[in-house]
Amino acid sequence: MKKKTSVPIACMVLLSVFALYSSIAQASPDEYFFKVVITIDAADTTGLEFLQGYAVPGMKEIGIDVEIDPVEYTMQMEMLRTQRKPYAEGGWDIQSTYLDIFSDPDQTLQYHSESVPPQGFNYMDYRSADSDQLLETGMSTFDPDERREVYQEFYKLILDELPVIPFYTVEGLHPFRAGIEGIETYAGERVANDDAWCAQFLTGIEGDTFHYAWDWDLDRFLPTFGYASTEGMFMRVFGTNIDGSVRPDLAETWEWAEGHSTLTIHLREDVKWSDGVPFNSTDVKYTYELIMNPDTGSPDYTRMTTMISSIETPDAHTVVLNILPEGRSPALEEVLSWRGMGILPAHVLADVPAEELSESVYNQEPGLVPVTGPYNMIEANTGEYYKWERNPEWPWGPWTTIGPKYVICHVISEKASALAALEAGEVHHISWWYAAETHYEYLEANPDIQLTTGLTDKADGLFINLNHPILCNKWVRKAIANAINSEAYVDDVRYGIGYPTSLPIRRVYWTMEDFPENHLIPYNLAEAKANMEKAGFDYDWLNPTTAVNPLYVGGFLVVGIAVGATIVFVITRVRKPR
Amino acid sequence: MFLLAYLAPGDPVTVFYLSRIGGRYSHAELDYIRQMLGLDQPIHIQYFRWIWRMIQGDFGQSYIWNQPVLPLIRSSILNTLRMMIPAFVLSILFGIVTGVISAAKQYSKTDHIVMASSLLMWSMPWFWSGLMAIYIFSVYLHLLPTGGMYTFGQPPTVVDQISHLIMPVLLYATSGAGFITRLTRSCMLEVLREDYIMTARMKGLKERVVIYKHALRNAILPVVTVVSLYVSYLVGGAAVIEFVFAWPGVGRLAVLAATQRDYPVVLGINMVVATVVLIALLIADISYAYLDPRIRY
Repeated sequence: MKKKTSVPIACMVLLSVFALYSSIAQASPDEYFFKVVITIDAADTTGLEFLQGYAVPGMKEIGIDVEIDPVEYTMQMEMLRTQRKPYAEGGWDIQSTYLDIFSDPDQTLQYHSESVPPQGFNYMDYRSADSDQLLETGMSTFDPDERREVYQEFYKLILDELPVIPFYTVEGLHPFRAGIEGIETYAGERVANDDAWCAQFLTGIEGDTFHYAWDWDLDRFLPTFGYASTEGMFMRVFGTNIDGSVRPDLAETWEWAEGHSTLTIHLREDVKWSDGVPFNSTDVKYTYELIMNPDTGSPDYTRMTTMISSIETPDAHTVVLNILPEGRSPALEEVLSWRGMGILPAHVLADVPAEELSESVYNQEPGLVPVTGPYNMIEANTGEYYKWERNPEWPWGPWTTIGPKYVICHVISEKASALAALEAGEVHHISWWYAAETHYEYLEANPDIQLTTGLTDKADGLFINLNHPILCNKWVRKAIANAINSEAYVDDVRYGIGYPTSLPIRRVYWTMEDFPENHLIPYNLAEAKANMEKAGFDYDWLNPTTAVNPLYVGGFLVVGIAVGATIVFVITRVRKPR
Repeated sequence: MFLLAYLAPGDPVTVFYLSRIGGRYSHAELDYIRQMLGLDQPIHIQYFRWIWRMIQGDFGQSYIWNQPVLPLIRSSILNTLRMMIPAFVLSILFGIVTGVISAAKQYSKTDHIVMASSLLMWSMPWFWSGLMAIYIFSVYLHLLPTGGMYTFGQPPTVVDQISHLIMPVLLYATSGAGFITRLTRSCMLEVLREDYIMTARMKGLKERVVIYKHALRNAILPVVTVVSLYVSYLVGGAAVIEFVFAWPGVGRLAVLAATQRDYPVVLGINMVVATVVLIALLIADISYAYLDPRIRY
C-alpha cells in the first residue's frame, strides 16, 4: 500500500507547492511601484550583460519593474530620433546606448533645450533654463579658466538632474605581439581607429612592416567626406591632446581678434606635401571652402557654415577666418580639429569640381593625393588590405630613427579570426574595435601577446525619456543611479578595463581639472530607496508577504489535495481487480 | 526586391554616420547628407531612378564603400569563384563517387562509414569547423595561414595562394560532398531496384558497367538539378566561410551591405546572382536532354 500511495502523495505535495508558488507569483506585481522598458541594441552583448546582471536587479530591488526590449540598432536610433513619447504611448522609456563624451559639453548638442532632435542629440527632451544659460556662457567664454568654471557648474547641474545616467567609461583593449615597444600612443594620443598614425612610434617589429587587423574597409580617402580612416595621412590645422585641449598641428600659433570676429591662424613654414610641394595657406582656404560648399556633400557643411562667413589668406602662411556672430566661440578650435577637417592639397584637387570630388578617383584610389601626415596610402584592396608608406617629407616625426617603414591593415571582419591571426603571428596588433576584452583572460595567459588599454571617447549609459510621467522626477533618476553597481560590473565582467562614472565627460579632460573626485554616484540601495521616498514612493505599499492571498493558498491546496486523492482513488480502484 | 530593401528599418546615413563615426553629427546634418545622396526623395522616385540607371548598365554608387557597384561586385564575385570553383568540383567528384560506392555496397561497413561521415561533414556548422581548422592548422601547427587570399605585403606566388585556399576550399567541399553523397546514394538505390538493372545484370554485363553506365546515368538527373541550384552558392558566396577566412568574396560583401543598408550594393548583388542562377538552371534543363535521351525540347 505504501508503494501504491507514494506516487499520489508526491503529486499532492508537488501540486501544493506549485499552488503556493502560484499564489505568491500572483502577488508579485505588487512588489513594484511601476514598470519601465529599457530599449537596447540587440547586438550590444556587453550592454545586455550589464543590464541583466547589474542594472535590472538593482532597479527591481528598489521597486522598479524592468523589461528589456532589444531592437535592431537602426530602429533604436530611429526611435531616439523621432519619438518623444513614453513606451506605453508608442515611444520609449529608457534607452541603453553609448554616449559620446567630449571636453566641451556644447559639442555634444545634447543638453540644450534647442538641441532636441533633429537639431541635436537631446533625446531626453531635457529643458533647463540653468543648463541653457551655462552652456551658452561656456560657448562664448574664451578664457580657459573661466570656461572651466562654467562647465564645472554645468557638470554639477547634470549630476544633480541626471537627464542621462552614464555608468562606465569604455576603455579599449589593445592586444599586441610581445616585444613591441612604443605603444603608449594607443593608450593616449589617439583614441580611435588610427593605427596607421600610431605606428610611427613603434619599435621591436621584425622587418620593416607593421601588420594590424581591423574589422572594416577603409572606404573614403579624403577626410572631407566624413569617416575616412585617414588620420595618418592628412594633418589638420589643430589637433586634440589627450586632455581634450586643442593643440597646433599644421598651425604654429593662432589668435582671436578683439570681439572675436576673426580667427587668425599662422601656419608652420616647414611643412611640405609628400610630393615635395610646400604646404601653404591656399590649401587651408581650399579645404574649408570645399567643406562649406553645399555641392560637396561634407557632413561638416552645416556646422562650418553656421560659424565661418569667409576665409582670407593675407600671405602664404596666414589664414584669417571671418566668424559669424553665432560662431564666435572657442568651440570652433575644436571643430577645426575634427577628423573631417584634414587639409587637402589645393595644387592637386582645386581643378576638380566640388560636386564630382566625392566620386572621383581621388577619393577612391590611393597614391593620387599627396599628404602631410606621417604615412601615405600606396595600395588599397577592398575587403583585403591597405598599405601605407612613410611620408619622407614628414617634418616632425621621430621616425628618422624608429618606426616601421610600411603599415599594412588586414581587413578581418570576424573577431575570432583576427584573434587567431594575432596568435599565429600574422599580425602584430588587432584593433580595439574587436572588443577583445571578452577574451581578456585567454589573451593574458598567452606569453606571445601583450595587452594595453586606452581611453575611448565613449561611455555606456542610459538616456532617460523625461516625458515619462514618473521618470521625469529627478529623485527617481537618482534612485536608479544609486541602485546600479557599475563598479562591480567593471571589476567582475570587464576585468577592470574602463572605470565607473556618473558624468558623460572623460575624467582626464582639462575641464575636469580640480573637479571633486568623489562625484561618482555610489551604489547604495538604502540611499536609492531614500530617493524613491523623496519622489513620493512609500515602501509600506510594497509588502510581498502580506500580498500573498490566503484564499489563493487555501484554494490551491484544496485543489491539490483533491487531485491527489482522485489519483489515489483511481489507482487503487484500477489495481484491485488484478 | 527594391521595396524589401527599403522596408528595413534605418537607412545608410543613420547606420554609417552614427554607428561608425559616433554622435558628432546632428540629425539636421545627417538630413543634409540624405539630401545629397537623394535618400530624401519619395521611394517611388528613388525606385524609378534606380530602374532607369540600371537599364543603362549603371547600378549606382555604393554609399558605404564609395565605389561604383558593378566593379565592386565583379571583383568580389571573382574572389568568390576563385574559392568556390575548386570547392565545387571537389564536392561533386567526391560526392558522386562516394555516393555510388555507398549505394553499390548498401549496408556494408563502407556504406555505414560513408553515411556517418557524410552526415558529419554536412551537419558541422562552418563557423565552428572553420575556426577549429584555423586553430589546429594555423595557430598550433603553423602549417597554413589563418585567412586572406594571399600573404599581404609579399609578391604573390602560386604556392602561397594555394596554401590560402586549402582550408576554405576543403571546408566547403566536404560540406557539399556530404550532401551530394547522400543524395546520390538514395537516387542510385532507387534505380538499382529497377527491372532494367536486373536485366542488365542477367545479360552478364560487368557490375561496373551496370553501375556507372546504366544506373548512374539514370540516377544522376536529380543530382544535376540540385547541383545546378548550388550554383547560387558559387556566385552568391558562402558568407560564413568568407567571414571566417577573411575572404573578400561576394557573400561577405552582401552581408556587410545588408547590415549597413547599402541599398545599391544589395540590389546589385541580388540582380547578378539571380541572373546567374537562372542561367545555371537553364543549362541544367538543357543537360537533361543529354543525360536522358527520352527528353526532347
